[in-house]
Amino acid sequence: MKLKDAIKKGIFLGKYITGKESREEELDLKNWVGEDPANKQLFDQLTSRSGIASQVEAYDNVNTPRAWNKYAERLRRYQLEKSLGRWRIAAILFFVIGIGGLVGNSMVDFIFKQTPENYTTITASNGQSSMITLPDQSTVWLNGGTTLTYNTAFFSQNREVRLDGEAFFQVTKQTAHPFVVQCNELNVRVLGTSFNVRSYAEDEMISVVLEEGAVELNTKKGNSRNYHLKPGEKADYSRIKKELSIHEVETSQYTSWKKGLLIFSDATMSEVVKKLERWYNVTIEVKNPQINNLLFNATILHEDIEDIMELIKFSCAINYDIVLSNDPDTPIQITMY
Amino acid sequence: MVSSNRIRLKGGERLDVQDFFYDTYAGFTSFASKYIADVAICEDIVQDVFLAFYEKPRSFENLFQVKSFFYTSIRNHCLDHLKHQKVKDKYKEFQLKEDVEVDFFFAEILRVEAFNLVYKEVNKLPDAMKQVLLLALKDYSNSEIAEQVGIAVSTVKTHKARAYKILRKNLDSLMLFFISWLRGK
Repeated sequence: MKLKDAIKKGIFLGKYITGKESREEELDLKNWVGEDPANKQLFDQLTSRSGIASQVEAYDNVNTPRAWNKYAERLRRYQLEKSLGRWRIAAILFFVIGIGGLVGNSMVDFIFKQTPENYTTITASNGQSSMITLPDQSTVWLNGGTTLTYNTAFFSQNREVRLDGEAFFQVTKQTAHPFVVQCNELNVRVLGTSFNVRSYAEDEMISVVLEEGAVELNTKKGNSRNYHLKPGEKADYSRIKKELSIHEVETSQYTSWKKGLLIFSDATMSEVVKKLERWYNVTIEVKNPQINNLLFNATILHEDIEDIMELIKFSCAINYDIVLSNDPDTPIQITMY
Repeated sequence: MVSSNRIRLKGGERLDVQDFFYDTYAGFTSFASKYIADVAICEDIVQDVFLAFYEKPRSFENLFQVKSFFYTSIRNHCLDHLKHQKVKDKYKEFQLKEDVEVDFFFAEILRVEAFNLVYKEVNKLPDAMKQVLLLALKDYSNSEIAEQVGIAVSTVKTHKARAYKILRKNLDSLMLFFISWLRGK
């Protein structure tokens, strides 16, 4: 008997005792009982009234909810130790480089430093996303490769943050103090709401997606104008054309990254490549420029980069090479052709 | 860092770790207790294996492989422990009769898998009804049950009738049917 068969027989027997077995399962069980006197003995023992009672009592002696709490606590400590290990390395590096005060929250992976001018800068490096709480209790999720800066001293009067990268904001409502996100060419002004801003310095587009509430957009270059965004709308500002366009979208596609979900819906491969590079901290080289225009659709939750490359290979009919590395400082290199 | 109790196995099947824990923990502990008498040690071993599982959920194709991993790991941990504790007699017993240990291993898996299901059904009953069922299975009379649980005899009867519905009708008489079926074969 194989292990898998033992599991299957057990499940059949459980169904049999509770009167839920199918004809085939019953027959399978009967054959098994007939095969060997030892099987018959086991069967008789487990299906007897006293056998059932004593098994149930043995299970009753185990306190599963208490055990789950204990396990969850052990798991939490285990994860903490793992991330503390990472922090120790980061702390040593910062000490060597000589950057001032370093405050580490070990549960999230970001770099948090305070410069002498009272500016606080928070960075989530490629391949990591993190959640932070600002002094006004607003919550910000930073996507990989993102830097957020704000003035600590004046934040209570002047809720302004500078963003390079992508972040999802859940802003607490303070009517007297609007909350402003400054991107290079665009300001996003809000009272209390949740929205996503994507403004990587190397991308042409700055995108703002509104989930709830209302925001006001203000272009700084060219003819300065104000735009109002409604929930479910996305604004795209082109840094090259200096133009802003607004359209309705499925917001979850743009905000799902904060839950660890990556959604591509008719995304061009060049967009996919950029997202994957930030998300997984890998470098991707595209050998054949035609690949850049291929469209890709997928919803990805906690997949390895290798699985995603396999998915792209099959759905877009391309090939790729992957070079893994044991050195954490050298990212994985992928070539698509 | 995103943490979630839901994982996906290689074959595509989804598994909620907390549900899985609740469905199997008592069974795994009972499985380990057939190797090691001290239940506290058994629970520690099962928890260790859950932590090991947390480290590599993605290396399993399906639920069978996950369960195989648990049974094999728990058994190995238990045998290691016995070896370590120098509980010579017991360990020798397993070692000398390796094929006996293997049979024992499979029989125990079968028992635990069966009773994970039975226990889930029994636990759907209200407390008093479950108590009545357990006493009835142990052949207590209605008046004895009434006294123990602190309810009227008439209530015992209705509880019993309802509780028995979660079990196969006439388990015993079916055994007789079995025997006649085997003889006919």
